[in-house]
Amino acid sequence: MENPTPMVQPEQKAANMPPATDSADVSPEEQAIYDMMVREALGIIYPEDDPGNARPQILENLRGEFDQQVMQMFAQAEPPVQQTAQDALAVTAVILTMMVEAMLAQKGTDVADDVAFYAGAEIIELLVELAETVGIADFQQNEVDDIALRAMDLYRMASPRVDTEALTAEFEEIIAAGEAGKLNDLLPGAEQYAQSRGGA
Amino acid sequence: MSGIIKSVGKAFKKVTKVVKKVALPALAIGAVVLTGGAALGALPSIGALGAKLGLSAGLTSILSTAASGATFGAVGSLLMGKNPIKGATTGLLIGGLTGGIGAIGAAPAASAGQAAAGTATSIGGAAAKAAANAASGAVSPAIAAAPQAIGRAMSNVGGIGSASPTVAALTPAGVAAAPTVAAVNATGATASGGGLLGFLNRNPLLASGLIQGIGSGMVAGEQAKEARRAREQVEANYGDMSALFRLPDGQQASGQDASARYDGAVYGKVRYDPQTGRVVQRA
Repeated sequence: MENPTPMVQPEQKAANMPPATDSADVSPEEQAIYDMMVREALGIIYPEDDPGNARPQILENLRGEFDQQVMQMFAQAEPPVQQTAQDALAVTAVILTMMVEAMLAQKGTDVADDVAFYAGAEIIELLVELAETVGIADFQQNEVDDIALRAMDLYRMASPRVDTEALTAEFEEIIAAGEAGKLNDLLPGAEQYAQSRGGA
Repeated sequence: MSGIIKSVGKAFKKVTKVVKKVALPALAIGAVVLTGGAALGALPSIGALGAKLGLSAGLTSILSTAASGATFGAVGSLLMGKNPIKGATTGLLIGGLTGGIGAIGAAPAASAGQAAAGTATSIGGAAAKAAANAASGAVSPAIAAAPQAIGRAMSNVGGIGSASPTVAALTPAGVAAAPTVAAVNATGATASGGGLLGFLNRNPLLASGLIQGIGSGMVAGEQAKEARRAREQVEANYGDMSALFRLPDGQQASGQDASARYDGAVYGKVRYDPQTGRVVQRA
């Protein structure tokens, strides 16, 4: 069974997207673990013995075919996981991210939360590229963003590393920033982006 | 998981180059999805309530976007509807849909325990299956994490009770009544156990090897790429005569003509005399 490998394209700047630059906030160690995470995901998507073709099981997932166990992990999802290209990709990305985390943990590598957060986003982008290349779907930019949001909500439900109390405390920080009119300091660009998407 | 808010704005160097990326402001809103969802329990309900919670207008807007983005599934186009399978890969995809993966599914993995658990429709049943697999010692770490994940998911159902007073005060009654464990959505699930996790579940030994082999495979792949790059560099260096020494433009060689200087006839008239240590004329 053959399927085309996504073509590597030059980077393009999406609308409303600040330029991505190397940040001094990212330590070499964090970047190294980030790289490991994304490369492990690539290794799962594209098998070693046939790197030109995506693993059929991944394509099944992208088409919305999931194991019963997977669906049970996201049984809390509201609305429930649907048979849509977006939901299929979000669920696939969450499962893949959790698998990669487990693989690195097995090797004794601890993945920090923020590294998992950003590496998970790149895994979503890889799957978007794959889904579009094999013709499963064609996503608009806002759909890619929505997939990321859906994936984070699903990850929150399924991941064993989620600490509800810690996240609750962080949400209180957001509330306080909102009351103080400092949301843009805490979440750069979020308010403007929400308004551009028709937020209240 | 914590420290998500502080990480907003970090810019990791990406490993790959893709056409479509998640917008950075959307990632910032993703932090709200994670934290707000954990704090409030049911993000969609919070988004619908909007300003009634007494939050700032800016945060209400962000929450609304977070909720609508994270719950698009209800209005997203169906896989077999608005996103038709494209011509170039029709054969591949239809083959998969009609059981092309059945060969893998037929792998000898139908132990009695798995068969029993395969019909389980409750989280408890899945946890029991995962626990049974873990006891066999042949399950991958990712799969072994399933009961943990499910356990965490179940504990999250009661997470509102552990929310801090501030958030608890904001939590509407409707959210507090979040469903305990929803039934598996029949439209989203396939009973065939498809996809990567299903494949690994049916082939635990293969899964173990796969997980362990992927890392070394990646390393080998990287080494192969490095070797190829080095070879291409060498080929580029010696692909033409440009690397050979040439006199700079405008300069010419000077002095005795080489052919006259090293004329064999001249050199044939002398020889080295080891006894005197001198070059003497040949006899």
